Amino acid sequence: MRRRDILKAIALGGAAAVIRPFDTFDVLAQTGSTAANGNADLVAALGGEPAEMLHQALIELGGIERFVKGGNQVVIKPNIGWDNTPEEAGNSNPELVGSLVRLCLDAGAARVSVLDHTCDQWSACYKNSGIEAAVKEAGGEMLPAHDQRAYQEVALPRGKVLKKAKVHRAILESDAWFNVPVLKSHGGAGITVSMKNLMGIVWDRGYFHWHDLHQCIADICTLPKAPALNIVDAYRVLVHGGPRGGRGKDVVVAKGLFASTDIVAVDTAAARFFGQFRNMPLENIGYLRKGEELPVGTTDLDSLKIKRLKV
Amino acid sequence: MALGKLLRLWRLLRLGRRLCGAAVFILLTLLFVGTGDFLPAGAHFMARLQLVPALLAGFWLTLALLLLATVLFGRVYCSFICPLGILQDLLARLYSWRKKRQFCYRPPSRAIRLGVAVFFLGALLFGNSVLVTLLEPYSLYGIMAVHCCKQGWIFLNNGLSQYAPLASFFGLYPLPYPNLALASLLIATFLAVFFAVFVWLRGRDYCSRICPVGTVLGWLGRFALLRIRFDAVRCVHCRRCEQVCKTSCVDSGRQLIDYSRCVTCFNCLPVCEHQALAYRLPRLTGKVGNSTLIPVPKGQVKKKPSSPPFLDTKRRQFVGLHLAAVAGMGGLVLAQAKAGTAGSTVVTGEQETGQRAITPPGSRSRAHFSRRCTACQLCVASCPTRVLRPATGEYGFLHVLQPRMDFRHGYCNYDCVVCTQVCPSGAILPLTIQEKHETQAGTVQFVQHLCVVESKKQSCGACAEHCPSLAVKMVSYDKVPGLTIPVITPDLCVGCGACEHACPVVPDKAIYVQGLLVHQKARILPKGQELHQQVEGFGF
Repeated sequence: MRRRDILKAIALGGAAAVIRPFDTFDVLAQTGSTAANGNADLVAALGGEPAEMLHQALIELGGIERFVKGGNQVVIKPNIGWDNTPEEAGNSNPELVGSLVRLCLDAGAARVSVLDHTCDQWSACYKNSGIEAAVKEAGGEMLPAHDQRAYQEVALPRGKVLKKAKVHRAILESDAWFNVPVLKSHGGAGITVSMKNLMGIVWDRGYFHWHDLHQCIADICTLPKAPALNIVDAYRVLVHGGPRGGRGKDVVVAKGLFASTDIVAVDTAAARFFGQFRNMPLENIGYLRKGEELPVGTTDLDSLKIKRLKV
Repeated sequence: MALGKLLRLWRLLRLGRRLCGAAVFILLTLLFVGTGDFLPAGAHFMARLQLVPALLAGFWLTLALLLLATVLFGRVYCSFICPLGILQDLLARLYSWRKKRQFCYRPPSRAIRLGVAVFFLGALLFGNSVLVTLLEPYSLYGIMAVHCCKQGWIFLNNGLSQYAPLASFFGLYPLPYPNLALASLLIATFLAVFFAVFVWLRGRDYCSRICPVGTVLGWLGRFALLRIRFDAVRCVHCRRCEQVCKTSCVDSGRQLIDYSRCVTCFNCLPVCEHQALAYRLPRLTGKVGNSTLIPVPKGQVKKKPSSPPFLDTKRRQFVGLHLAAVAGMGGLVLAQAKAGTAGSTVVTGEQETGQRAITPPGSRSRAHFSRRCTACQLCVASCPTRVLRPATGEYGFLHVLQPRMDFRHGYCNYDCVVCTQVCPSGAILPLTIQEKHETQAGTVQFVQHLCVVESKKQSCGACAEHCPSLAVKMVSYDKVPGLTIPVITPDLCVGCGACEHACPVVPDKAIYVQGLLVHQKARILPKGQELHQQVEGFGF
């Protein structure tokens, strides 16, 4: 390195240090609980319609502009795993996904793509979840994720069991991506929220199930390309018999929404919310503790600045 | 009628045949190759028009109409509706660019035809099998279309879809290949090569010498009302008609047409410049309209087709072939009974796990299914989840190519009834979604000692999360907080194979579906309810 470069670097670093307090650079300091600028670390909203709660939650988090810049390629990853109707609550709320697409486009995003590596037949899931229609109406596009060639292997040096994974290229190549899971019960993992939703950006899910599911879920959260924001849909909550909705499975209309850049914290909050409907001790959800150990976030909600909204 | 006018009429007839054939062929090909929702409305109808499937499905009206059409117009089925016939016409046309083709009259091979026909009818009668499949024109076409055209199309599409801007512009996305077996691929390749070469060498000889459907229709066609008839006086024996006859059934030397082989393609009519050929009714009286035509007595025309030239008098050979065919049938039936595929006992395939092959929902039972399925592969091509796959040995060697449920690449979508709607032969009967939910094609089996939860003491739940009917659910296990193990409720199981597909255990799955020889009724749970609960707190 030449002297001139070193001097330049010092000058730039100094400038950055001076400018730091301004909100525009907040994206650099996404994680951690240093809410230096007054934004909440975690927002919990209750009682409204999905779009309404999303709007208010985003305001508390510093606005959509904090996450999406003009000309950005944005990807949204809802849970569209099942050939379920919105009422069966196996998938993320279509209204929520649609309004997020619109917000991103309004913020100047060049392109908003929505994808999920579904469990049931992909086109049936996209269609019957109502998400395809909502996204297209909002001006976004659905990306198929059923073909292995769309995935690219990524090293996960921080992972304990999962050392590498094939992740969808659209996620890796995006400028920002949103993790929009639905809160629901899960027979194997207790509940599924943001962390487990990341299984839908990965090609080989069988590996997770075969090699300690909880650890692999925590490990995939070490993905360098972390979601810009995790938005948990808890509008309809499948309390028993999840993650697939359907016959014999009742749904509580809870009208909740949680959002945070801390993936473990938002799942912890969602798990405690879930605990109001059914006994679900946090230690039953192994990936939360394992996520905290890595660390990819915190389960200590008291250390965070939480904004509670009643819409 | 003036010559020009007449020729125009004949050309119009030929054009009509070509247009109709093209429409049927394109629609049927789209039906087999088509992906997504852009299928034209008439495509399914074309499959239902096919003769043998209609016979097996018991569509008596279709059958009656087809036979009536044959009695009225000759073997129009073979030129207008049969996809294999039209395919051969297309091939012949393709070849005509390279090879100036001149056909000539060849005597019929009655013994072979009747032998094959008897053999075929016997196979149909004694329970449908691969023998029917490999002789039945619609199924032969289907096998080739799925294995060659569909695969080719997907290959092309997937190649194109790699070019991202172009792909998103045209809405192209990669498509999964149909779930095919090596055996079926080999058979399809053989068939494609066979027809490519055979048509090159012999034109539509398959239709006139082998095809059992053609033989039966040909027998009726001999009595057809409207036929291509020679005008003995006008014919100058120029042999033009003979040279364009793809089935080699026109003998211009003796002014005879073998109506059992004539597929009414009308190719011979427009080439006759002497008005010696006409597609018309028999002359009842000597005097008909145009007085320049020399009347032909009724008897003369009527007798000719069945007169000696076409009756191969080698009676001994004929009888011998029949005996051989019947003996062959007997042997095969015995073999079939021994292999246990007649519908009562367990099949030997996949012995290592003791797993029995599963017929698709709507097929009622193995017996019902195997008796009707002609293995046309339409359901395999249409299956959105790629769960249907042509069988190799799973149903026994006589039922090769009939589809079975295979959970390697996917599982049967709970709310999908596509295969039950496309099947033209009644092997897979139509189901509503509600009826499908109540149909049990197989039952779930759980091998606990193989399960990840028991062997590794780790969470999994892949089977239960995929189960659409709560036949598999997770319960607390070993008093470890959060650890759950599957329990099965077989009477809720529909046999969709989602659990088996999702199970991460290899090579033997810890959970699998055992096929049922006779499908049962599955218990179904009521639809889930929406509980409006007043939620006050956040819980933290």
